[in-house]
Amino acid sequence: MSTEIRTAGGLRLEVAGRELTGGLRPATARGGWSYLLGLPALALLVLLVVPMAWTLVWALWGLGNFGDVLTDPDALRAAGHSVLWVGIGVVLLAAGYVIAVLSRLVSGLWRFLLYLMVLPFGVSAMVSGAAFRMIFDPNPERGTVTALFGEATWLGPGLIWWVLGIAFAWSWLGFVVVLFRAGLDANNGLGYRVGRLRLLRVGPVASVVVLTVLVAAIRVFDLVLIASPDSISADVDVVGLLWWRMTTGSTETGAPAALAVLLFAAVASLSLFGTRGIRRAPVPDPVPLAEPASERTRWWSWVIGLLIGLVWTLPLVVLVATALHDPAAAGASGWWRLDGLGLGSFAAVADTWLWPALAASVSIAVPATLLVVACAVPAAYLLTWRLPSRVSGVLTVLLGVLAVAPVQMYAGPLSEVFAGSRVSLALVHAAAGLPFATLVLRAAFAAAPRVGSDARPALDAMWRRGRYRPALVAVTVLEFVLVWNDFIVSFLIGGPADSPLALLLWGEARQFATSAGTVAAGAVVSALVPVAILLATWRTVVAGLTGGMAR
Amino acid sequence: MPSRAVHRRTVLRAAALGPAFGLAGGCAGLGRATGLGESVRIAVSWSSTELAAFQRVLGRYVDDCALVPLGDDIDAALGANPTGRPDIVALPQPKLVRANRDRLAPLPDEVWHHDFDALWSPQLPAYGGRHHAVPFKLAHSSVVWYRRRLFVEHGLDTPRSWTDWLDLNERIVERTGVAPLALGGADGWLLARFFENVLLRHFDDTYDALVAGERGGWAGRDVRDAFGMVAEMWGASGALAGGPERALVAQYPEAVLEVFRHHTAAMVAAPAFAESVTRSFGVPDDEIGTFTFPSAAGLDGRLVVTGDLLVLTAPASPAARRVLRHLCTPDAPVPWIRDTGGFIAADPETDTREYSQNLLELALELARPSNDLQFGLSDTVALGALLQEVLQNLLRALAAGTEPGEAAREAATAMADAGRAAR
Repeated sequence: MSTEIRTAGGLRLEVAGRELTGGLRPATARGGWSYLLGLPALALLVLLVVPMAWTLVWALWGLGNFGDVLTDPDALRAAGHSVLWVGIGVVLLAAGYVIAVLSRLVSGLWRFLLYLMVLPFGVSAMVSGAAFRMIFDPNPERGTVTALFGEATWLGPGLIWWVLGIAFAWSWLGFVVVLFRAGLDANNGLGYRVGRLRLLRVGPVASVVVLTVLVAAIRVFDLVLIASPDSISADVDVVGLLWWRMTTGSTETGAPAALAVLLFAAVASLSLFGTRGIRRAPVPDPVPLAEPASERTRWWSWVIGLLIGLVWTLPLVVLVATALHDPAAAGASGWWRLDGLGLGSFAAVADTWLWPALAASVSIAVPATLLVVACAVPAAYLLTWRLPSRVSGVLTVLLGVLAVAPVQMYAGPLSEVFAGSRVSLALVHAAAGLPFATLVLRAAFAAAPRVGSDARPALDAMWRRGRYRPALVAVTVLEFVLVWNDFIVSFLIGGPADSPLALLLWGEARQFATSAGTVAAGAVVSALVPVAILLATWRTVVAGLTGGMAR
Repeated sequence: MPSRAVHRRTVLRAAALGPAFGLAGGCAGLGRATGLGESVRIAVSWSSTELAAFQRVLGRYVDDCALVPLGDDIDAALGANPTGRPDIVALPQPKLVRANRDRLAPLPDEVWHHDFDALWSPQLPAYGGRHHAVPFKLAHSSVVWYRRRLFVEHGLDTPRSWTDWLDLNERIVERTGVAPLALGGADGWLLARFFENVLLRHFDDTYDALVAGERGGWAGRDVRDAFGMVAEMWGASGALAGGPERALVAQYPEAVLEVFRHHTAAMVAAPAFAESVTRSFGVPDDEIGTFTFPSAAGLDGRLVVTGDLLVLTAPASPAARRVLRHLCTPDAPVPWIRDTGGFIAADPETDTREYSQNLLELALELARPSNDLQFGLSDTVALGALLQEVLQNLLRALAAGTEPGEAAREAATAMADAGRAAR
């Protein structure tokens, strides 16, 4: 059972779905009227599926669209860069595995490291991109790394990929390590011998982690947008960004639609076939590998652990310290200088755009989250306990495909009919978040500990009884954090109507280095909310995702 | 364990709310924050200090307005969908008015000043006798800013001609140990201003032809020569602060700071609004000198300008019209001129007493009847965006060690090809 529970600990559970429910559902689970419970979710999904179909029609309308895209040198270069991102994801996964293995040797440090590494997961890509652009500012008066190492132009064409890669790692490594570690603990020293290597077994959670990180790597967008100077945008162009440039540059719909379809096809097939491949691959039975670690290994683990702790704190220190300087001091010199300390940067954003932006963020994220939970709970209930297992399996696969669909796949048609108000943005967010939330809930329901005879609880038990509540909290928190940190949906669909924080942060970052103080102040405020919520509810979230087995 | 969790939560909550309560600064901010009610939404491209300055310009209307800073994506404000379109938009490019006219409301008659006719009418024609955009802010863009004390200490004179300037740069490298120029290549428009000045102030016939839409002009000899001059100056050894690669990834305000704050460069070519940068970073006015971008003989009066315009989106509400009328009163921009600087009012009746000495001189130069002002190419012609990209690539080629002549030829070829393709 514990292996299955660990599987549910993943954050993208679409890939872990099927075997979780096997044997849990009574054979007689059929119920006519209760199928109506899926209606709200279906209605919301229409918002996603119709524009996706529309995009497909646009792409197929003129015959040459796919040909044009596949022979366009810009598109090929962007696709090459997206593949490079997958490579970065693979390196990150390998590093995460090694750190997870070593972390078992430093139990004292681990609890502290865990919080430190999970923290960036609550920070938006926009904010982490801003932090790393500050750290690598090419001017030695301002840039931390440039001040230490002199000559190199880190944001230049030669080194920008290192900056982007490191920023991506900062956001995702904690997620990888925490879930790998959970998998390692569940397997308790079992593993494989490959030649001279001894590999500890992670278990099913590995596929969840691998796919989540790779899909995130292909879909990367706002990080590149904020961290790289405009003059080298061609060097870091990725498919998602090229799509945006194509749509803003002209009124043509065919070619961008074709590009979006290709991006979607790549991500969806990675999700579909990747999962199946991993699941069906012949895996030998693991053997116990437990051997006491040498004193030397233990020592190195501490060093690596402390180093990670230090490096992981730096971006937050840079952001907060920069924000605590007056705009003039922060824009002209580095965060480590003592002159110009003060709350001037906070006051400057508070005087201009902070409050309306905060209000917009709240009034988009809260309704979107409530709507998602209200629609996803009955849908997940249906999938877990009511629908025939074959139907439920097919639906889970479909939801998995929808959950990884890039925004570009539905943004085009949606922005034509839908741009504007907070209400419409909240609706789109809810539709975009629903597949993911339903899958998380379904896995969490299936993994929740059950008592006695209630193999199929009543719907209201989801709210009433204690043991399903952590799952609800988990989905609520994750959905809120996702919407709050979103940039791409409001950027591509929202228009100028009601700009949430991330969008205004992007406007403020127009003159990046000299606005460092106000950008940092805005970034700190926008990160405080999700990070605080994530840290405050972390235990419940993990409990909800793993069926009550919090670590 | 529970007590620790509670403690952590309390601390985090306190941390989250601390700055909120500390900085709320009265109810006005919170009132605006709700975004409800009848607030007039104004989209602007300004950020940081300029955004704060515009807020002061709103004066007593500030609580009725909500600002939507859109940065370089300002054209999104006039997107196809009318839902949520801002009521007033400050556009940095005249060509955006023509492209979006059907989404704009005609202006109240009294806001158009007859003095606007000469300069602005070709760019902002009236449709059916009604104007759809009103000039708000004007920027002298043929300005080179320099550090006065450095010039005095080393006995340097400001240049009149292009060859003077090349000589001066060499002398600066030899005598002072700082780079002659700072450049912000990450802002393509700043590079474009430099090129536009070279072209307008040496080959004005070609410039006028290009503005008039003759794309064949891009393939001509003058354009090639202008690229050659630009590449020669930027590519000279030690010419750019931090070297060409750092210049490529620096933005315009950073280039201004290189001169006046970090003291790593002697000069920077930047529009009049660069004063808002020097002011906000505390550079004393008497350290700042300006000269007009060097020109060929007889072309001294051809100046590059840029401007910000105000438009009303259709259908314009009475509240939006009221705010626009306020913004168009002569003294509305005075707080910006006085406190932030870098603002030249488009309205000739605006009080000039609040300008700094530097800005006053620039404003007077623009107002001189003998001078002939021309809008920046990259703001007016269809290939403007490409021009910026081509200049960034030129700088990039220099950073990669390409010989300046070769880099200029590549740039000229790229523009010529695009000009031919567009025909």
